[in-house]
Amino acid sequence: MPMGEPAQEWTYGDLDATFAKCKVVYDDTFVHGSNSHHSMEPRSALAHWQNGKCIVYVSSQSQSFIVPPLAQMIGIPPSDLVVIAEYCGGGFGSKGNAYPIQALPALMSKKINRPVLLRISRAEEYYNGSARHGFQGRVKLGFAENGKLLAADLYVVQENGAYNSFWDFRNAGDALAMVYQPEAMRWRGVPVHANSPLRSAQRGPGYNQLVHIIEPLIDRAAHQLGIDRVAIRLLNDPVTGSPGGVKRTPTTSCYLKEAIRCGAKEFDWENKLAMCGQRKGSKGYGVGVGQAYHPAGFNGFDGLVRIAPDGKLHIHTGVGNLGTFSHSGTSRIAAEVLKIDWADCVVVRGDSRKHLPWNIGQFGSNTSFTMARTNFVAATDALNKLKEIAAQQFGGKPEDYDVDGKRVFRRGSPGTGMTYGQAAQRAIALGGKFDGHQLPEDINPMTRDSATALAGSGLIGVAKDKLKVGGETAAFAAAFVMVELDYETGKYTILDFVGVADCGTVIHPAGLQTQIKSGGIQGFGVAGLERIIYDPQNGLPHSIGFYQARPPTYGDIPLNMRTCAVDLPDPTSPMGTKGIGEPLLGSAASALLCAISNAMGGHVFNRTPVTSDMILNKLYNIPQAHGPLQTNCQ
Amino acid sequence: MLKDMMPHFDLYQPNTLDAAVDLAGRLGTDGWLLGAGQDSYDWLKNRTKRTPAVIELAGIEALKGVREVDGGLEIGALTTLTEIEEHPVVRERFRVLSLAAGRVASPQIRNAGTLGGNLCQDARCWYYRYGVDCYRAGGNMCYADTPEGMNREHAILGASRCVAVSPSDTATAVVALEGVMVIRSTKGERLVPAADFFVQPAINIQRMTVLEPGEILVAVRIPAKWSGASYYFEKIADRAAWDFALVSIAAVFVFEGDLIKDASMVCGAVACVPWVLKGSQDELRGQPRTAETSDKAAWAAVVGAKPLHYNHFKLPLMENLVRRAIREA
Ligand SMILES: Cc1cc2nc3c(=O)[nH]c(=O)nc-3n(C[C@H](O)[C@H](O)[C@H](O)COP(=O)(O)OP(=O)(O)OC[C@H]3O[C@@H](n4cnc5c(N)ncnc54)[C@H](O)[C@@H]3O)c2cc1C
Ligand code: SF4
Repeated sequence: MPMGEPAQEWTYGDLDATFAKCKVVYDDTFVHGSNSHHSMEPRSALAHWQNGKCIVYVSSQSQSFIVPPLAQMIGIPPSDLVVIAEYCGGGFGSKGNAYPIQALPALMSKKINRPVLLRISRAEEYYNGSARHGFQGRVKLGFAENGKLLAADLYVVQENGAYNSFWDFRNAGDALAMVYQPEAMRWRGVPVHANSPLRSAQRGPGYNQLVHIIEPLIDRAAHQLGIDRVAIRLLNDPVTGSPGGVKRTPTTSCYLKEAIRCGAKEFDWENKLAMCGQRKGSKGYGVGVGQAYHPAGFNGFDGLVRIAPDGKLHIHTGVGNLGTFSHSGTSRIAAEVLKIDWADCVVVRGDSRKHLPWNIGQFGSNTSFTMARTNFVAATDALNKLKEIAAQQFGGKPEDYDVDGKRVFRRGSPGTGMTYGQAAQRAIALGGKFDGHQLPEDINPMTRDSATALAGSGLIGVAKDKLKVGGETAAFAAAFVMVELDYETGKYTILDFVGVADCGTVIHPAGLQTQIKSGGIQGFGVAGLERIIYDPQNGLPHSIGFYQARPPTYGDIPLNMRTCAVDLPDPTSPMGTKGIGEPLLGSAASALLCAISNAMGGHVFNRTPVTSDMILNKLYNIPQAHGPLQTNCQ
Repeated sequence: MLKDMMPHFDLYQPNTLDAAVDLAGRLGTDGWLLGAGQDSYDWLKNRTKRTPAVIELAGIEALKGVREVDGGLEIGALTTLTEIEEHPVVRERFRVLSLAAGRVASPQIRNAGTLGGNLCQDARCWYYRYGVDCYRAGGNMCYADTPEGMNREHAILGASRCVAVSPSDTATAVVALEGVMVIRSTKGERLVPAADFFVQPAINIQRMTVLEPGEILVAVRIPAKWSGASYYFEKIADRAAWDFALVSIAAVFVFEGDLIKDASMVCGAVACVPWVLKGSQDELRGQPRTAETSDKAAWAAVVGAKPLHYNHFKLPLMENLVRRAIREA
């Protein structure tokens, strides 16, 4: 592999000296294929102009976050853009930020002065809808006799497609440093433009590709050193406070070891392991454990709530709707702070005319962390104002007051107080900061405009998230997979799956279960099925439909997918929440890759995906059809 | 590229076979026969193939259903794949066909897709479907059989310039059961053995079947010969549903004690036609059902195979499926 000057690099520790201490050193090249996002809804957009404003209906993971960049693409100030993003049929990272197809109908509509709808077909989605960055690379890993990873040297060449895109190659370095905690490490990376379709962030960009490559190598070391595969992970895994990246920033919470232990128990690792190794007829079993990580600590956005004169709590959220309904899941935090029944809450969202605050988009596994904080600060601001209004009315200090049942009342004297509706009317009468006529200095102009529009219509709670940060907040996940491999066909059946999330406090158990399972299914696709390839001689795209690009079907997944969560709070989130989504894919894919290797008697492939033809070729000593570092192969 | 929307064509919806035959004769190459459209709509919506007129056969009741005839079956060409999969007599006596029909595509496609359409479907070579000017499309090159061609799914046997494979799952079973195709046109009816119905590229590179313009496949007759025989069907594809075979096998056997009295074995997705394993059958007849016999049959199956750059794996896969069929039938 050519290893010229990298575009970027970093090092910590004394690499050479640490490698010299190692008992086992592997030096391997690897390939990680690209795969499409397979969003169910192709990225269509509709735009028209009215009274100088441009109104755009988009397929977007995000709401407020895309307003400034989309306005820039259209060439108008953000205040003249209306974005309607009520529903989204999946994005998986490809619809996180504004993209040109959202702007094109706006520009065309301006020219012809008519509404313009731009529909993208499924086939077109496969080239302008983007795909995960593929990797070619080299990794050198050095282990101590006890299985501790001491030194790592990683070089990633990232396939960029024809445009500048995401920084998966950097994330890969961070993932290696965090998940395996080597004493010394060097990361080098270079993104390379290629005459291939657009690439962009996809669920766990870079972080997941990295574990798909490294987890099977960890198994190889465990095998060689005679260590159990769960034990070697427990030995290497980070804990709360463990440093990440070249800056060695400590994690605010990390319960990966707990996730591994919990998963091993639920999966029944020891007994399942004992079933592997013998062949029964044409079949045999393999088990694998995988883990993954994704930083999820964005902060500094705004929250905005309004208590209306009818006593209802309106929670304005600009996070977007990826289809996971976390706009509402995270809004519940405001309801909890104000101790108000969910039935008395209105989640205001989906249309920038509804006066939404400046929020993060729904990406980066961040919603449950970042939006917990914004909704918390806005609701806390409203709570303080309720208490202040009550203290003004009934005497005493605001601290003397409490809330419950849509009332603010004096502690110890529940009869002394008023309803939320009365407090909202009082706020309107008082004006100033209470009803939004006077706003904090530090909020984003978008939030300021929204709060100003709402001023005078109720008690306004509005604030910027300035809560404590104090390190890297990250999501972790572990997964366990058992396969039955058919040695005559190269096909495997996934018999069992357990996915475990370290996502802080669980706020929405059903939503979490769905995330763990669907992340797992997507991981099975990345590990063994999916492809986005083209004829290199003629530049023809092969994968222009679901059946060619092959995301998994119901028939390809185990009937019973089990899930659990560590459910331990992160201290930097007011509700203990942190990220969820992305490492669930990486851990499941890794566990599957490890299980396949296990069924084949040990580490085999330094590439992803592992398809049934590769398995057969290996079993029957046929040279693989692909070259050593070849990408775009079948 | 999928254009998503149906192009314009004249739509004829005859409700008798005679009317359909008449229309087909009159329109000739301009009349596209339509079963349930699960293959046709791809071509038409993508604009890779165009037609001035479509003759939809769905309204012709006489073309639907499974009838018992002389110990065998006559299956109307418009019978859905789901109906064939679930039909009690097909299940009981010609199970290999029920299994094959049950492995086509996805439940939704099987609920609509017809036997006639499944047997007459066009090649699935992705280059051809993309609309390139290859041999099969009337051009003068094959894009798949090149040093860099992406040909993992393509043929290892029986190729001649075109290396596309027969994609139909039911075709393997119909050929293994020695079915007979009942074909109607304005000239009358003709019967063609299933094994001769499918056309190799050496004979006609632009056609998958012997059907001439104006001819309609009206039914498939399954003779009594293999009724109740031991059977084996397996389709290996990347995904469990909604995927074409990498290699499939349909086989029926008559065993007498430990001896294999007779065998009929057909592989799908290895050649442009359902590939009858003549050599393997010869190895098996009158031989004991042992690992040694199956090895010989397996080796005979791949004689003459010429794998392409990306599909060497089809050799051990095909051999193993032959072994398995003999072992597990
Ligand atoms: C995503 C996808 C996956 C698929 N997977 C599989 C698979 O795994 N296995 C498999 O075998 N198939 C598969 N198919 C193909 C599909 O099963 C067949 O296309 C379907 O069975 C065709 O039936 P139909 O009635 O819809 O055919 P139509 O589209 O109506 O017809 C197909 C062709 O047959 C001709 N035709 C139809 N009926 C007659 C007749 N009576 N006489 C003469 N000509 C006729 C038509 O003119 C047309 O050329 C798949 C298709 C898709 C879209
Ligand atoms: S295999 Fe046949 S259909 Fe495919 S490109 Fe070659 S000639 Fe065309």
